[in-house]
Amino acid sequence: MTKELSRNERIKEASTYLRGTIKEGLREEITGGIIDDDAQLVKFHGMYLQDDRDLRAERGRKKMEKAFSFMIRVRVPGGVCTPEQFLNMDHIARTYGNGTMRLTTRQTFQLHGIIKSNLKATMREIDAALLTTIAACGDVNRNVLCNPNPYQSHAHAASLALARALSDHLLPRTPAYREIWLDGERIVGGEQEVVEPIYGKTYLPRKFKIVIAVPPSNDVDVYAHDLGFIAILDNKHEIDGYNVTVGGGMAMTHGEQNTYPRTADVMGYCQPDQAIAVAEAVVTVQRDWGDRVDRKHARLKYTIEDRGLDAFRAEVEQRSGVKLAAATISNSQYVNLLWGTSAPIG
Amino acid sequence: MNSSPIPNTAPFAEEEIEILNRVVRLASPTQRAWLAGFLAGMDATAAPQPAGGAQPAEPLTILYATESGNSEQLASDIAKAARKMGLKPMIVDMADLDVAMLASVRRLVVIAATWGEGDPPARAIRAYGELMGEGAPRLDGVEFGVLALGDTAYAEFCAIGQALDARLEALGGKRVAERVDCDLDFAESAGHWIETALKALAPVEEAGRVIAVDFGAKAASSADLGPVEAEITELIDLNSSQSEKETIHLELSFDGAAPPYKPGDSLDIYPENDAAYVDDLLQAAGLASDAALRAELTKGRDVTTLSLKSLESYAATTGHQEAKALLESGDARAWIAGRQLIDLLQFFPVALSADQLRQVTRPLAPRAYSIASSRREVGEEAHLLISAVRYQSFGRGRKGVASGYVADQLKKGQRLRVKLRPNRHFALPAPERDIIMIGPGTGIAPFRAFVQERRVTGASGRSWLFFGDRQFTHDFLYQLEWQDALKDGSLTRMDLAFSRDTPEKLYVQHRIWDQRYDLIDWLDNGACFYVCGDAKAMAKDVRAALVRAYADVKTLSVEAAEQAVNDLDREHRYLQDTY
Repeated sequence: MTKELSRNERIKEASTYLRGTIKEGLREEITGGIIDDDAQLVKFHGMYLQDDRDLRAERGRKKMEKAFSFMIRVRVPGGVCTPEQFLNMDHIARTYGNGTMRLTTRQTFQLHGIIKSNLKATMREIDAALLTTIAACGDVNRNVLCNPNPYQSHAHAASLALARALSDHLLPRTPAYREIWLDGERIVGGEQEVVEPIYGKTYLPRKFKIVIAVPPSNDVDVYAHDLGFIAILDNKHEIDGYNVTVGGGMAMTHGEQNTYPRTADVMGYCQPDQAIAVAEAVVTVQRDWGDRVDRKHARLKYTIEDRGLDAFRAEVEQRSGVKLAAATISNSQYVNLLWGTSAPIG
Repeated sequence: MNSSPIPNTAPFAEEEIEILNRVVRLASPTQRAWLAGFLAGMDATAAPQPAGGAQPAEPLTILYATESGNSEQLASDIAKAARKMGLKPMIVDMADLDVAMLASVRRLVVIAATWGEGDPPARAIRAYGELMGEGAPRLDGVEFGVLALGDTAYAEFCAIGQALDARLEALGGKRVAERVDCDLDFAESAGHWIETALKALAPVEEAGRVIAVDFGAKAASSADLGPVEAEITELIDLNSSQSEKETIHLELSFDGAAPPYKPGDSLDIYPENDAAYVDDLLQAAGLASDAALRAELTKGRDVTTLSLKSLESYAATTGHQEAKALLESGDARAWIAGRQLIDLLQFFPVALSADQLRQVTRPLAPRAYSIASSRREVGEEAHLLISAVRYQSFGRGRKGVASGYVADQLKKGQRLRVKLRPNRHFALPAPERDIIMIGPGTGIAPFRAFVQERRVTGASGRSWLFFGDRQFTHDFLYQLEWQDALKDGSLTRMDLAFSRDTPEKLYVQHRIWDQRYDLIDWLDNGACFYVCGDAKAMAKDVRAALVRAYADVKTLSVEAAEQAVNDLDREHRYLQDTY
């Protein structure tokens, strides 16, 4: 029995690679909102449509629609930006946002209270600051985190480089972002052109989060993410390779029995130059195996739970051409890799 | 047949023209031919009239420059009185004046309102400029008199009437009646002036006649209904609770039928003064215990406006040396700016008698607000949109008298007095004609009436609205209604300008410029262009933007583009209701 795909799957399918009618919606001056389907799609562009709940009660009486505005989330792999970029974001937050700039636990900037008529100007200024918001939200690989403190570990530079490389490699390739926000020309490709070689037309079933942990600290909380890389150092303190974890995630839906928090499994050990191939394979297996019927059951952790770690590992190895080694190397380089203990894993 | 075959320049009073139009409009060609012949024959066979009727009546040109309709009403009063004096009056709206024709006039009465900071009424700007300019004709031998209307609350009180009075003389005219400058309570002084002026202008044998200008009779005419009571059935501050602004949407219902208003008309509100303010004033005057006076001041006197005139009468009646010194110093005009009567009493304290206090006040004038509804849509109701004026000056919180009354004193269920103030210069055109409406802030009010009217009547003309305010999220007045109007087609387009949402302030004139190609296209198609709202800056900026739009879209010189906009004026397609 095939069940009906979730509504978001149909929206993605019909969106022609995340375009939808966002462009047209931005021209509707009379409303501060956008239509529901586009509200789902703009997440892939790094923003959420919100409204001020405190004002909901009075709005109708005052003959006004909900007090809509947008939250914009930037993509900053490893949480590293230049001082100029920080100042630019500060300026943008004051100019177009509600005057607040939030630095999040997922190592990025969030701006709140941006009204629709200012969206494009905000996005252009973010672009001019050499930052982007693409895939900061949505059913795609989100911002990639690593240890934030370069003074704590010699390995920080290498892990940051991997975070950036993973982030770039797994970005959506659709030109929609440039077309809609930066007035880019729409490039009409041939019918055969593959727009999204990794994601395909419907992207992932659900959001997807990657982190990299570097000794001595698990400040990225590696077991709580879809995909984790635990750096293991050699005796020169260089990164020897990574224990690869899959299927973590803390979210559950209250009252829904088939949702639960889950710590990630360690799937195996890979060399630094194999990490991207492994990550891509994990993403595409989840793309194909993940649950597209029930969005509350669509994260990678449920795929692993349903299919079993061994089957998942075998498929990843087959697609990536990487034979993962056993994760036998001790995690003793870490303090508190698991919550509250330094117990070994594997 | 044209709906108004008798032009409003015809030598009849406004209501007479309306009656004639009612008959002639519906008359068949045969009926009109019969009427023409009958009227021609009637004069030929008429018996000689007892007093002066043997000679043809002497023509009198009555020229008026009006903004709120007062000058226009006076013009028609004068015409009525003039006819009794054996004169043949012709009323000319300054908006339609061909300045060159003044040279052929023998008797001229001018009723000129001064607006804002010493400006002519918007509709009179062109003719006023021509008359004051080098191209004005010589008026040698023209007998004239000027009646000036104004508001002593403004520094340039009656400046336009004064300037015209001097100009007519400079052009060779012969002043036969001294100018009178009237304040808001003009009825009595205007009545006296009309009597004097007409005596001076009338043919010799008629000048001895007694005429009566009965302003009380106006209330009986259909065009000018008296004040009525209304009940407040809804009172909503339309701005969000996070807005700095406070714009009250007021819904009024009436015991019987609503005043017979049309879209574009205004309603006068008869306000009452703020109780705390009146208390402060009585306290300062040493009259705190006079309850009767308190009631009189609260309901009937303008106790806030501080003008040179009130400063002068204060100095005269109290003999206060410092107040006198201020007047003599020449700094009085600067001193009264931003101050009110209470400041005068507190700054130059002296115990006053009730009469002395009355003397420095004037009658409390009603305040007109554009009606924001169409009777066809809301039935026997009238809706108003009122911005609460609040500000600080000289350490005291101030508020607008009428808007403060509405915002702070009135509640749902209470009653107030209102009076219809028709504005036939701001009416909807024929249903098939397109309209462009520029209405930032409370300027949106009459356009809500326009769109309601056009929705209910199924008008085929397109409607395009420009609105602006401070913030999209917190100040978008009637947003949900405009969304519905766009959906049901009663509104074709809407362009917005919110000044506080972007680093560069955006105003309606910027949106006019952005949309200039479509806008000029609509105007070429015959659209009417309406502007409502702030007179000080917005109305001028909008007009300038339209001139630039014409110049750019049609590759015209600035002069030619100005001419294009002036042509809209002349065709009564550029219509303004500003304040």
